[in-house]
Amino acid sequence: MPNIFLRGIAKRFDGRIAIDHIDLEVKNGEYMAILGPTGAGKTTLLRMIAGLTQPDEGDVLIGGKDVTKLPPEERELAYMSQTYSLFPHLHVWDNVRFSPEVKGLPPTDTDRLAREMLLLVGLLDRRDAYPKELSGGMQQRTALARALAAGTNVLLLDEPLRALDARLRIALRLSIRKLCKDLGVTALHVTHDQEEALLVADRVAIIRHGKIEQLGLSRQVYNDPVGPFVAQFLGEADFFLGEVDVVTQEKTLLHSKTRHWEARPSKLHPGQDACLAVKSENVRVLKDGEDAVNTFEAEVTRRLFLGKFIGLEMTSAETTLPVKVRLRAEEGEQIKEGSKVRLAVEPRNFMVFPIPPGGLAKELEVE
Amino acid sequence: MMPTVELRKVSMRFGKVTAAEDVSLTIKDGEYLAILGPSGCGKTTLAKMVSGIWEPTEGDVYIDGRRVNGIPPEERRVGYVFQNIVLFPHLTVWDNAAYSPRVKGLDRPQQEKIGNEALELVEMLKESDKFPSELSGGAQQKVGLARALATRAGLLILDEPLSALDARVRMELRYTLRKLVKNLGLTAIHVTHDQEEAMSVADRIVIMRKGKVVEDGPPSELYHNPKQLFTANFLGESNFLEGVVDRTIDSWAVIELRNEQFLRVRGDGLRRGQAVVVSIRPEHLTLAKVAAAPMLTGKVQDVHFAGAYVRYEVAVRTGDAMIVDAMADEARFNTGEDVIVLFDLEHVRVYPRPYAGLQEALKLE
Repeated sequence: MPNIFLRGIAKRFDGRIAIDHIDLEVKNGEYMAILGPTGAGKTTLLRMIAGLTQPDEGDVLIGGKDVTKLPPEERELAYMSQTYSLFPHLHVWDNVRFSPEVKGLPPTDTDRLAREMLLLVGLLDRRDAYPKELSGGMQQRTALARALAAGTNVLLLDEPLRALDARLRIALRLSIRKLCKDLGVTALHVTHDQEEALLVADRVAIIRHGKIEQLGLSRQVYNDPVGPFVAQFLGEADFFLGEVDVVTQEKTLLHSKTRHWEARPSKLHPGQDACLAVKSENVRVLKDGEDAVNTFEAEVTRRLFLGKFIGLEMTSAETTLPVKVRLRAEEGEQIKEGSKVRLAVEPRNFMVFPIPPGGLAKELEVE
Repeated sequence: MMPTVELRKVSMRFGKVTAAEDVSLTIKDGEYLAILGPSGCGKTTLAKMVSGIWEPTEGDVYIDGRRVNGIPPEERRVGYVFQNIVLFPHLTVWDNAAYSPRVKGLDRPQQEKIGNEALELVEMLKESDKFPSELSGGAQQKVGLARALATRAGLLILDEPLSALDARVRMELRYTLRKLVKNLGLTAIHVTHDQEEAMSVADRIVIMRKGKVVEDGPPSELYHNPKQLFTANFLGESNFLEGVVDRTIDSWAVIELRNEQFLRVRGDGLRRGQAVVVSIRPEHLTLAKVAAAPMLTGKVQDVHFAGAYVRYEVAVRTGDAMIVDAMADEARFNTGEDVIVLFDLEHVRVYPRPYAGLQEALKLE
């Protein structure tokens, strides 16, 4: 029995399509991330599940029950908004007790639930504080405790970390997942942050222009993207253009005006125009004299220190787009802006896609 | 010559609250400086004192050797870009960009020249006739930047300029920011809470906490050799293990961690019996099956895929939970597996245990 089931959900605002007939199934106890750029329809989707926005078409089922026509309070789920929406005039304690109390649970049960949830998020000792007396991270945990105290099995999280400092976001992202897994809650987590989505989720749904571009395990959507957009939206990717010569079970052979490429096997056919894509951490910088397949020359135009990684941006005669390369910090030490380097891509790391309708540049736009 | 900025023993108090305390700082001509710290650390206060939006309660602010206390913002020749993109909604992109030359009363050809130049720099000239509401967040912030550049100020203050934008757009725009500042030879002060943003744009980072400067230095120096525990935790992530120096041999020290686990590290200046904290970043640890010093043994608790890398949570024999990051193509361990955690000696740092305790030293808010 799926815990959340969407069937042909669609929504228009002022005639513009925001959600374009989405089917989606979130399994019992699953933690799913909905990832996409601003305006992709992520929040609209979540609000339709919560009952805060009415779909124009399609059905919403929760725990097998059709809730499409039910108001939010009659759906068995908890919703946590970006801004937490804590009651400013209520103590932490009463904020967390709010939902079970409204449901008419007896005070002993209400108190027990509130105590349990505050213990879980580590805030029982702050139960007498007002929200404004708490730090951002504590407010976030209070909101989480309040949502979980509703006692439902479905938790909807709309950008739950967005209001926090970047470093705190990193520290807290796995704790939400852990809490949900420990409680056996089914969670749907909306975010625009690709690393957050990959890390917290069992499966990630990438949405764009109101449609699901791809749905799969973190590892799958990252390593086997369905097209150029997903390839570059998760992590970073470099792109080259070519024409298919041969497709075998082991590889795809392609050529451009100047050279040949060897790539992963694909479903393309000989003579078809294609784009090749590689994740920026899978581009290798060759040592002097080292040889490999798919080598090309590039010049470093920008070097960014990212802590764990060094991010390089280069120009190359093989593509009109900048070539981005991500190296481990110690590997990138010697490479400076202006350095000329030889790069290589292993065929198994080279993905091949048909040229998207509307062209590659249009496909890669994120805003 | 672009301006140098100097803060001398500057403090800012709002009633009982001290937002900045006794800060002294010099920003060099043409330097791109990031001020990094958690919410409420005083970083925006510092920027506002330089721009003249706030007057310090104590201390002096110098721009290009001239003391500017008491001088209003419009006379300080500072361009300011805000976190919340504050464009005039009823003005076109072009009129927003040319706002400064217009209010300065420059003639029309001058206005056009400066406005066009500024929009060209941020690659928004072709959007001149649009209104802000017709633009994406990233494009709006570029116009905000153009407007600041059109002031022709040599000093640019960027107050969380990317915080309101999507992660992906943020990454693209930080390239733009640094390129512009460097190409134009401006001096820039960039306030942010995002450590990766600070590391990628700045020549130098100043880390602030509770109104004070914790330390400062070039990004890679601060990342690899933080002098303070707070920096080690705030700029990137790290594992922290508490222990006591068991013995020292030449420039080596053997640290007794919890549960009678021992770790041999390089440790000049450590003394026997000293309470210490060992710090090592997750990417400087390797999981293995074969023992090699220095190491701890443990069991994989969880594996998380993060794209370019895989993060392991490992429970080690000291009782600590450690995080270990491996490049994705080298990651081949599973939850429940017994493993050996190898330390890269080059990257182990040892700190005296802080007086107020480790938790307090690391707190993020």
